Amino acid sequence: MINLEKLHFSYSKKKPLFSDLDLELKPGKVYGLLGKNGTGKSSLLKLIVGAIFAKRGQVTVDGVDSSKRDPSILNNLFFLSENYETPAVKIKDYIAANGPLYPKFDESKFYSFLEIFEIDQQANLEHLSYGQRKKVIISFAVATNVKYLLLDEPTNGLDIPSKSQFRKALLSGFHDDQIVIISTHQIRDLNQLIESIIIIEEGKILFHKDVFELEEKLLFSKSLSEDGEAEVMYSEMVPGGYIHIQSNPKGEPSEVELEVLFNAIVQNKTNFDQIFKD
Amino acid sequence: MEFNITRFGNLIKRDFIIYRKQILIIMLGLIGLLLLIYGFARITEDANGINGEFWKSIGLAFVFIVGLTFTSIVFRDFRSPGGRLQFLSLPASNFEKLASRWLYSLILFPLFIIVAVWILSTLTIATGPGIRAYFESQELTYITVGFLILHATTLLFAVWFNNLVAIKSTIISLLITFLWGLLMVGMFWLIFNQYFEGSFRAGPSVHVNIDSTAQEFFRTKVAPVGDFLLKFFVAPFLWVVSYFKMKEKEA
Repeated sequence: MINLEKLHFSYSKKKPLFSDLDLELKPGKVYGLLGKNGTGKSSLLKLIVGAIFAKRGQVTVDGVDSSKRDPSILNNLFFLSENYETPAVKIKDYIAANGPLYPKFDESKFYSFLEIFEIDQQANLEHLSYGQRKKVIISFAVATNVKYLLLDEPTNGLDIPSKSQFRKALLSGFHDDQIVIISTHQIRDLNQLIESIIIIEEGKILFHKDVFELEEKLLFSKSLSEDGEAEVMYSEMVPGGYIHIQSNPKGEPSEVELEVLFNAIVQNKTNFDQIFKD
Repeated sequence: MEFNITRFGNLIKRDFIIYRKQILIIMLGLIGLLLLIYGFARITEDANGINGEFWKSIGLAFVFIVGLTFTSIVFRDFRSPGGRLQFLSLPASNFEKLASRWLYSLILFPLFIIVAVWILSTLTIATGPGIRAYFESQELTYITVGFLILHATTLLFAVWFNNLVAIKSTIISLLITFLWGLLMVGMFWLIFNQYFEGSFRAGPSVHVNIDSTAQEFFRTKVAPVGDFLLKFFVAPFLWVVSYFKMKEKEA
């Protein structure tokens, strides 16, 4: 379990990035970490890894203070940062170098993901494109079988087919005691993957709900005009019409549009709080 | 401070696999440079001049200059935010991370230089004047202690700074040495001024006259303490500081 308690963090003395932030992440879920630019999504992941330290409060992973960078936690945690660097070595050498550091690393799984991504196993990382290198590292990350998988903008630089390959790889590698945190701006790419949504705004957790709860309480509908039904809480123009969000007292099934929901919550959170209180 | 031999071994192996191309280039480059120096010396010097003593000075220069330069880049991962993040999040303790690069820069790299120089000197001596290098034990002790202290200082700065380590560490070391020197001279003067016979001049070089009792006092009491500190305290102290710097290093 990942626990952030009364977390206070800032890069400068003037403006804290997080103040008194509380968050608890339980195993068995894929969390989507959403927020505008500069709200601290990447910093939050770095705090969980222990790469940066909280000014006040505590970040614990399995009860261990993350700032200790305890190897027993780090060998069960992989952070794919947005600016991940790959060495100029062959893929097999990369595996020989890094695989042994992760006790549950599964080499055959890694190569099967490379096949999904259509990457030549004999390739040298130096000669691969940014997107291809990212696919190799994603494959490695999933094959480590770590309990905590933190992915910062994983679909950046991936082409359209690769995005679905990424979803496939992540889903096939996911296990029940795992916590996957995906920080992203490209919510559409991960719409079917995310099980719990966390929105950060102005140093706080603005919204944190499981997708099944959203499906239960909210109804997402499409229409050609902006004027939807009476109970519409938010409407957004999309190609081919409008998407409306309204309360869902009858529990009608609909697919949660995370991008629309994000915009709706960032603009008017109070309305949504009311629904989830009831 | 956590240490696991398997994890440490994996870390050493990781560094070797990832940097083996660079390591090989550096090794070949050094051998090439040594051969170049040898060739240059053959052209410009008397054949008798290329002997063990010649290789001794070359070896020392290489161990100190190249060895310390290598130490300054031993944490090259820290040059970029991505590199720092990856290195710090590697599944190993802070101690193991520091110790792995310590081993490369303090033991393995200087050992390679010494072996390379030894092989070349042996080949030269076999075909030349046959004069081998000779180290007195005290001389060897000073060289070892000197390298240990300079290495520990450079390693500390390599952990501390993210880039331009060699330049920053040279400037800061010189500054600290100068300030420390001033402080010591000042304290020395304040505490022991009754022993001075009269002149104290701190010009381009510090010159002091002390009476024979004081000379004896410094020889028997102060010098052994200084000697002990230099031999057994300074480098380990800097290693401990490096460890704490590693612990508080952030991406």
